[in-house]
Amino acid sequence: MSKRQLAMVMDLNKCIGCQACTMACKIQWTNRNGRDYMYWNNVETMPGKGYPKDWQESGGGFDANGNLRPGQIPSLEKDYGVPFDLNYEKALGTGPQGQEASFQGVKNPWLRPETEPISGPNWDEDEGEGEYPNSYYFYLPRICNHCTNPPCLQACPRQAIYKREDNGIVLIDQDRCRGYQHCVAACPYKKIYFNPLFNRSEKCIFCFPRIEQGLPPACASQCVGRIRFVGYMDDQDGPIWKLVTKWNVALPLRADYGTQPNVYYVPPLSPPKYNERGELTADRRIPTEFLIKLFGPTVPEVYRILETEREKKRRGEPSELMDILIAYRYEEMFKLDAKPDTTGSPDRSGAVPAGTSKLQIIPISAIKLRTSKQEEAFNKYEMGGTSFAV
Amino acid sequence: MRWEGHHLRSKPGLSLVLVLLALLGGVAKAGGGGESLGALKKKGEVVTARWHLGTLPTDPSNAAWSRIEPGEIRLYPQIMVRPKSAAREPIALRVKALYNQTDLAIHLEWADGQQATQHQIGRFPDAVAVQWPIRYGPGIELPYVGMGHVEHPVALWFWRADDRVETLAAEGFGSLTTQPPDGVEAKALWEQGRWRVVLKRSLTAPPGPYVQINPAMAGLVPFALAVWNGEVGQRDGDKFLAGWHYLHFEQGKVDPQYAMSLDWSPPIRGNPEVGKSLMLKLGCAACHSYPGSPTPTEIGPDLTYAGGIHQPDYLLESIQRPSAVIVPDVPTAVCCGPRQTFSTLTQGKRVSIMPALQISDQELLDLVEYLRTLH
Repeated sequence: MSKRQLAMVMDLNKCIGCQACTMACKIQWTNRNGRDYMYWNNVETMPGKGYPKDWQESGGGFDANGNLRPGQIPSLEKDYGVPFDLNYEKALGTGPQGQEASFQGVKNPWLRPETEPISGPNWDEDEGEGEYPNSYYFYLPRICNHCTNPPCLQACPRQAIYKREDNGIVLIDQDRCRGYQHCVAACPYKKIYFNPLFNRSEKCIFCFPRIEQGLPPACASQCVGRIRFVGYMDDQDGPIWKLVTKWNVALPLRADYGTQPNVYYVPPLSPPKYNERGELTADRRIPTEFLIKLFGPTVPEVYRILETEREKKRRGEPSELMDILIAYRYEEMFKLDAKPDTTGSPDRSGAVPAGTSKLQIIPISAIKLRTSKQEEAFNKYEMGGTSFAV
Repeated sequence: MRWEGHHLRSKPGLSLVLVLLALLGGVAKAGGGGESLGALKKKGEVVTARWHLGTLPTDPSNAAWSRIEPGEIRLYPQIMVRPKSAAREPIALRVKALYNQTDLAIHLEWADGQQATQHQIGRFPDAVAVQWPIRYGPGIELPYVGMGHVEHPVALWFWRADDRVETLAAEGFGSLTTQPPDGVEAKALWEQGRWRVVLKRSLTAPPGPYVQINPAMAGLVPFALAVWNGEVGQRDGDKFLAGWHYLHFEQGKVDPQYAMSLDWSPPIRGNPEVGKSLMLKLGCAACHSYPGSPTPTEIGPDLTYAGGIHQPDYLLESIQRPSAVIVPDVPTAVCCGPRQTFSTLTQGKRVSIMPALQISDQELLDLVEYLRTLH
């Protein structure tokens, strides 16, 4: 276990499924060099199959005795989806054969993928379940859970996966990884991806180069719905401790996998159902059992707390919980500069300097990484001459 | 055989007899480097590297290769530590070798009905590796055959069907590490259900964890092999492996003492039938699986192919002094179930979980002879 643990809370009542987080992550990390198919951050519609398809049924994690369960490696074609190009030239007549293709005798000059995809991220977007007018769905954004007990780490025979002491971020040592993909199978959230270009596995790095500069991960930074809170689990002045420990309204996803995930969710409330006469009833549209499967048995209790506090706020009474969740001030959603509450040795030279009290926007290309050998290696190949903008 | 060594130091009473016997054996074989080499050859443990005039061929289909007889080596499914092989049958691999003043080329050929050349999501390429002890020769213990062990590292020449060749070093499970290139090159050909791969390197290597070969000084070099069948998802420890064999450079110098030390010829003959019954009587089956063992278990390493993979003197040592060579544990659980461990940390020292057995020399050799039949 690491000395401290960074965590993220996502308020699902505020997620509008806009994918700004997905794009922030993709542009920062995964739009090149064998990562095109990867979404370190994705937003999926629930109920739904998710991304990669049926990840919840793909095994991995731990059994009741704490032993690793067998897991599967998803298929690129069927589960992740092959990234495709659109036939701009043919359809819009911009290419050398374009004019011919789109105007002279071609039956389907529509804009479409060059190759017919059979799956992809968000393949079942907004489908949800239920019959009109009681249909329902919500969005579930997912990143690596940076688990306290990471099964990926347990599955790697080469100790290529490690958990950082100072903040609990789980990383893959790119020099040690040989692309065996045991970790891909072992992760029950399927948040490790094999890079076929570099022959190594990769994953969400919780934007550690940004964290080291006191910045939240790109996904959280770009979230227009202000749903993502970031900070240390043990920081009682930060939003994470308040939401997870004090108010008990943020719950881990599929904790039954036994990995002790460190991304927490405020479960979505849902509108009431209509009866046959078109009248509102007391039933919730999203079945509570469905949410209990995802977020554990305390969902009804969380509902009670959320509804009580919401009522208070409606009556004009103060509510600390609602004030946090509303997130009036963007900068208060992230608290990365707290000093460790242990008297032990400082984490490492790369830790955020004390006294960094407000967010600064620093171009990543200017960051000189003061990190361990492994992380330098990661950056060496990752950066590869590319400069990054925040 | 290696009776003179440290194996018997712990048992002074009996070692005297055996050392005497060994010495007698040694005298009988005096000047018999050739004799021991002959015995090793007879047992199929030697591949002869033929002298070749001119540049060594890297093309697997070069006519020079078809002119020499191969050595045939059996490779066994790796089922001792996770990740284990699901394969149940050994495979055969043909080895040929050519050398000249400066270089060594090894020609490896094995059956693989379906070539796998891609390293993709959930797909793994075929591969082959030659493993060398970094230090070898008279008085130097062979490394543990499964990736070496601490203080006895191994060097590996590794070819993979996605057009990759590299040199690696290891000193135990999980420690395999790519090294700066030592100049090894590879050419491969898949035809009619067979891979043929030639690995070539200069005899000498830069300083570092590499194998140095000098036939004029040491013409008998230990090596082991591993093969991966990518089509069925083999990678990592899920592979076929061979025990230590010896590359004999036909015009090289063979140290008779060394050849003798590699040849298993104990002064007392064990009886494998008696050894088999001892396996039950002594409780070996409680922790080890082997053909006909009462219940499958993962507490100790699976012995199904112990005789094929391990040296007899390694087997002997493992029974007599289980902690003599501590094979490093796989650091993690891999897939699946609880983490396997074959040793415990006692007062800062790694100690095997296997108890030392209070048995006679005859029983010891009966056990070894039984284990030798497991291949």
